[in-house]
Amino acid sequence: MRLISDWLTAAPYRAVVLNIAMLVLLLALVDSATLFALVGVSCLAVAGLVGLRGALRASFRRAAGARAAFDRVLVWLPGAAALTLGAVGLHLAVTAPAGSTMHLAGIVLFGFELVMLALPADETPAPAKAA
Amino acid sequence: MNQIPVPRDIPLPMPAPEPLLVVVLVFFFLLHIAFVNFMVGGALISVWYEIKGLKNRRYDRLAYEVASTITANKSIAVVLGVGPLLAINTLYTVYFYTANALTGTFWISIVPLVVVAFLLTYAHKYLWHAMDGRKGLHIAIGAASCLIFLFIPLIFLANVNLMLFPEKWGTVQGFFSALLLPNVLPRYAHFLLACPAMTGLLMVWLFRRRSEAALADTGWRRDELMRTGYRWALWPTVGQFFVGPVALLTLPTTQGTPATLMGIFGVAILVSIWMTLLMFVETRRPAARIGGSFVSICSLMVVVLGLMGAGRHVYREAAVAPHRELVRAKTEDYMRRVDEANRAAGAAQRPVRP
Amino acid sequence: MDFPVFHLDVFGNRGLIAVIAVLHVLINHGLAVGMMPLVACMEWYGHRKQDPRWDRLAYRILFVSFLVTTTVGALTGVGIWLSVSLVNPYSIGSLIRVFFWAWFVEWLVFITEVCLILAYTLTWKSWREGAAKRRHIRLGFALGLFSWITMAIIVSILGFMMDPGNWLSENTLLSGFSNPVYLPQLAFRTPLAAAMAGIIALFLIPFFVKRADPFRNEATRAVGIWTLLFAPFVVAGGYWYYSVVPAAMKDNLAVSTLTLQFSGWLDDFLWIALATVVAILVIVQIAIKRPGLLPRVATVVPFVAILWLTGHFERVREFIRKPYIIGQYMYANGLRVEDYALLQRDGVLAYATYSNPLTEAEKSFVPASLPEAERTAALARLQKGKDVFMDTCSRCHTTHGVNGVAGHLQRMFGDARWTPDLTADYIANMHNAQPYMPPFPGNKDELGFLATYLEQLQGNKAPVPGAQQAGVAIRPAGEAKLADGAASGPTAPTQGARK
Repeated sequence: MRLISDWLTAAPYRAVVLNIAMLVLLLALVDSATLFALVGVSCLAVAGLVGLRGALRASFRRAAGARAAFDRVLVWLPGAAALTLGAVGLHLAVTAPAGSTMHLAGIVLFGFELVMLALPADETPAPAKAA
Repeated sequence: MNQIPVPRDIPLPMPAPEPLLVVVLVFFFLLHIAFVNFMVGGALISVWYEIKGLKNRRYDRLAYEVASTITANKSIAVVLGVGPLLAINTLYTVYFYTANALTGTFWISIVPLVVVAFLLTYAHKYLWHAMDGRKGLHIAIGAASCLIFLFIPLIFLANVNLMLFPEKWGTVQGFFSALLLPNVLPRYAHFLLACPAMTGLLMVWLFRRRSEAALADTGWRRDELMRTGYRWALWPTVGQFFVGPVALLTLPTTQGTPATLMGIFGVAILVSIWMTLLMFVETRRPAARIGGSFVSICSLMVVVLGLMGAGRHVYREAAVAPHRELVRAKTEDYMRRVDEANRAAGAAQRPVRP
Repeated sequence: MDFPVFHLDVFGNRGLIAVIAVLHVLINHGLAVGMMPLVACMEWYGHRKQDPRWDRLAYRILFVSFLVTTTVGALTGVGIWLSVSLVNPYSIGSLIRVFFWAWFVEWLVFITEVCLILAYTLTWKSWREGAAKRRHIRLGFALGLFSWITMAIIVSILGFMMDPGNWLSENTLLSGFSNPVYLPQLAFRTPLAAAMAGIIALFLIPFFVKRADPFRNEATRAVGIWTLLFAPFVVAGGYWYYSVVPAAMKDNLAVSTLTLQFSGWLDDFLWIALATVVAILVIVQIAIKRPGLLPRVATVVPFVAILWLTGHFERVREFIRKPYIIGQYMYANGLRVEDYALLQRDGVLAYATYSNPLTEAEKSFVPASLPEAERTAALARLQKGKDVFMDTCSRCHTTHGVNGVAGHLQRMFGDARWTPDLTADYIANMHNAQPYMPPFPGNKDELGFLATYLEQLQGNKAPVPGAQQAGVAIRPAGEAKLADGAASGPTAPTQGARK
């Protein structure tokens, strides 16, 4: 028990990933498309809203100009991509016949994108960066 | 029994007036060959000086300077070759493709061979200083690229020679038999001498305007470098006065205009004599006046190259003109029969238009 | 085809073109068209931020691209030309007659591109500051643009080969450019090139920036964003191409079985494209979120996926063009549709200039015990069969190698003796059973000769050399048989060019 809890607390993302993995596994095992859809959409919605809030806050901190435009893309794009792909994965998981390749692929994709949405970006600031 | 094959040609019209295609062919080919000369000559001269540089450091520096020019020249040489290739495919479709097919293995091996040669020259240049302690290996890399550069022109020469002699198409078996046809080897010798000659002029051009600071880095004086370049230009060119006539006289005889040919090459020889004399004079000039005739020499070289190109084209036309008439007639005959057969068969064979 | 027949009997002639061409596409998409704008953007970004680390990284990536594009890239480009000239000279010769000016313009753009990449690479270290630096950055963007233009031109030519659109009736260069597949194909290739460049750059970054350096994560993330940006356009462009192709193909659909087989191919393309894009996206998302976690080897996965996608894309493109090499004008065997009436009446050999000498292994098919006259006649029939095979089948088929006819016959007839009774009828009708096969262009006699040659293949497994090894013989001129009994075409002259 000690070992497991040590391992989990060593890096914060580990607990998150484990939680999401367990959730997705549970949903897959229950084998109810409706439940999967409901839970899945709620997860994406929550993640989406949290992401939106974070992105809006980050956007207003930036300066203007073309370089800043790129920085802005850096802020918005990954979340948007993860949301879209998560939705695609959810769609596959819900509509594809149970047990088929597409179904499995959808579940995996959905799980992966949820992890992507849940993890904060690796924001180690780079040294010697002129403003 | 040596039959002469008369294949049929592609029945589509030329995409441009023939004189225009000829200008594209001859003019851009001369540019291509000039840069190939710079590339091959640069490789050879660079390795030569690097070997000399083992005893005297100054030569190593000179070798590096020459090697540096190959990077640009090789890429320009390759890209300039595409246009003439396009033109020759259009103008001499039957001849060129036939020669390609008959020497196919080596024709396609141009691709890997040139890639390896280029990679070796990059290694040779960019690892120059890093391999300072392993000169033997470094020179070997340079020498390997030289060997490849010396082999590849044989592939091209075998092709452009074979294409002119339909009577040989039924007799050759593979690349080496095409290589040994007259007069590939004398032409090869002629090309080979041109490489250091042209590169010598390139060296003069390279060093004549360089800043004193940059020259000081090399450890050579400007006039020394220019004189070296002129010597590289001069002596191979003197050699051309023996090799050139051999190449000219060993050309297989053709129907048609030997007079024009002799005339063109005759003028070229006269102009070359004048140019060589100027080169000789330049090598004797003191530091203050060396380079005075550079522009004249280059202009004369351009004239010589132009005459060579023109003479080459006149010969090519003389060699294939009668056969081309036969091919044209055969193609027309074939098309007549195609039309007749289609008429006989009704509209069934015509492509259906939606 | 009225040329000596270059033939690779083990690897197959198509394989020669395929290897050179796919290599060229990977390099020009990933290291030229896609990479030059990426490098220019990196240089620009570093200049704006006044961060020399971007500049250093950009230069190193550029240098790798420079080394590869000016060697393998340039020579495989020429190599496509050289190999197509060897494998199917009638088709490339015909295309040049129509598209000469397109290729000429393409060539002028290539010259510019070469000069630009030489200038861009070789002046990087010297044009470092101020106005010189700004000029250098503009040079980079110009290079990117010119690379794209070369792709735009060549894609039109490729599209033409698949569906000439109005070329058959209008015969102009412009009509080739406006063919229906052109824009979708370009819309697919452009973002694909950018995404490929991103993947390659992700692979290269760890070589140039140490793990301990926090800049590595920053660079990885930025390149990940670049790739992510283009990924949806790859999907959109791919889907557009997928939707346009069947309409372009409908003139080629001879039989409904093709639809089934072909739609299978096309669907495969779409799924592979989607799988590739997802693979790219997954790797790229990791690159953005957890760049430190991204092992170098991970970028190999999307690269292999793109290789697979490109190979399949090119295969679909080639497949849907069959049985033509130039849609509705020329079949893959190099013979024009218009020629068929004549050739199926008089035979292809009546108009064939060259003959491919029989090998010893082939000759041994005719028993030595036969009386002299019979043996000569049998050898003559076999010779004609070989010539028919080389002239009409060898562009796509080998004997026992890749796509070997022996393999196909084995599959269809097993170990039964491949007699002409068995095979000739099949060959006469195979273009109905396999719609990507051109119709047999010879006459009935030649069908028999070919069948005899195929029968010989059952026992003789030795590879057949092409003209590049064995040379050619010149056919006697008197073989033409005409309905009107007139003399055949010009006989071989004895005057003219010397011996």
